[in-house]
Amino acid sequence: MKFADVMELLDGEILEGVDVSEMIIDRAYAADLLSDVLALTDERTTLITGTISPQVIRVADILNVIAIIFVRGKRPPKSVVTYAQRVGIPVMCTKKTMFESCGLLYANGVRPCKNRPVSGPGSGCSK
Amino acid sequence: MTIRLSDLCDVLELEHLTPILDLDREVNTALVGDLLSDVLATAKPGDVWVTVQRHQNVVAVARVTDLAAVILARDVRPTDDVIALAVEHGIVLLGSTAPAFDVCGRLYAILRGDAR
Amino acid sequence: MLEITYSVRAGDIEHGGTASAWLKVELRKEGVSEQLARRAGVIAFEGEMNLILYATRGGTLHVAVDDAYIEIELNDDGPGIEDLDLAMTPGYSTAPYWAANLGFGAGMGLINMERNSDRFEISSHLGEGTRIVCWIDRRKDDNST
Repeated sequence: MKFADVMELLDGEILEGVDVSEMIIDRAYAADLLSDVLALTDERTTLITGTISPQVIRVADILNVIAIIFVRGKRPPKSVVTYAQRVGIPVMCTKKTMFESCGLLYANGVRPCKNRPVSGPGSGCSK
Repeated sequence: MTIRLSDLCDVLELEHLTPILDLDREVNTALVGDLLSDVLATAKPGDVWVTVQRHQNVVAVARVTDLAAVILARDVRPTDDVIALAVEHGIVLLGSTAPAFDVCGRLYAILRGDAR
Repeated sequence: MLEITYSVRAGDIEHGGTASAWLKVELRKEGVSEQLARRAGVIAFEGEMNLILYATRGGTLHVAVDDAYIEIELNDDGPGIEDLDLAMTPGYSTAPYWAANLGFGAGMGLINMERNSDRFEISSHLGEGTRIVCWIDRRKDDNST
């Protein structure tokens, strides 16, 4: 879906001036912990996070994340937004929770990006 | 719509990491995140919490907020002492190999009553 | 050839990651592929944040690049890691609560560094410090991390 549609869906606000409304958002990753974000292997992913420290932008820059959605009504400080602008990463804010944001994007066709497991082989359902 | 934890386990292919505990609690809302303060601020009793945190604090937060279960996403595995602590306090831990976004997307559809 | 040393100050959360983001740009200028620059960036970021969060007096991030390798070395003079096996366990973290709420302390730092390296060495002694060296083999640049 287009960035502009995501904004409408999440009732979001774009914090940065670059016109990216036509940008396609088709993969996402939701994380608050930076090391978790750094375990990403897929590029061209949108990051959904509730962490607003400047490191989020640095990590996103290192990983070639294409856009960042800050959830839970969190607003990064101006310096963080300016930094994102400088490295060309559009940022959006929404008051919605991370759960709802993920749910809505997923329902509209956005899919998880690939990443590697943290430990050991995968395991199915067992009770 | 609500769903029983045992059904949730089947639908989302979750592994029950604390198999000694019952999965009969019903859930109707969920939250996701890894910042403990945010969880403490927003969790409601009976919620399911999706996270990649696996520290002992997870059990403490789940107890304080009376969560129905914690789903550890992306195949993170708690250590045995964290599992023991969870069992001791009756906190259900479930494991998923999928990333949090995937778990949430599917969980959201279930809780909203969409087709599974 | 490129060789850079950054000084990383203890506790300087605000600027944490600056050196790593800059490093990635420098590596690209040096002709390093996007894929490898990204891996080097991840290693440097985790290392840089470790120095900021845990090293008593901060430390240094040293990067050397030639045709064959990208070498990333981190040095500090304390406090040192008591149990390396434990520190290398996924999810194990000694990050204080305030750091966890800034997004740190997933207990994946050293593991992310190792995973992005073709060769990884760590040595640490209590009271003396920690030295980590990571190598990325540029000749194995096959776009798979």
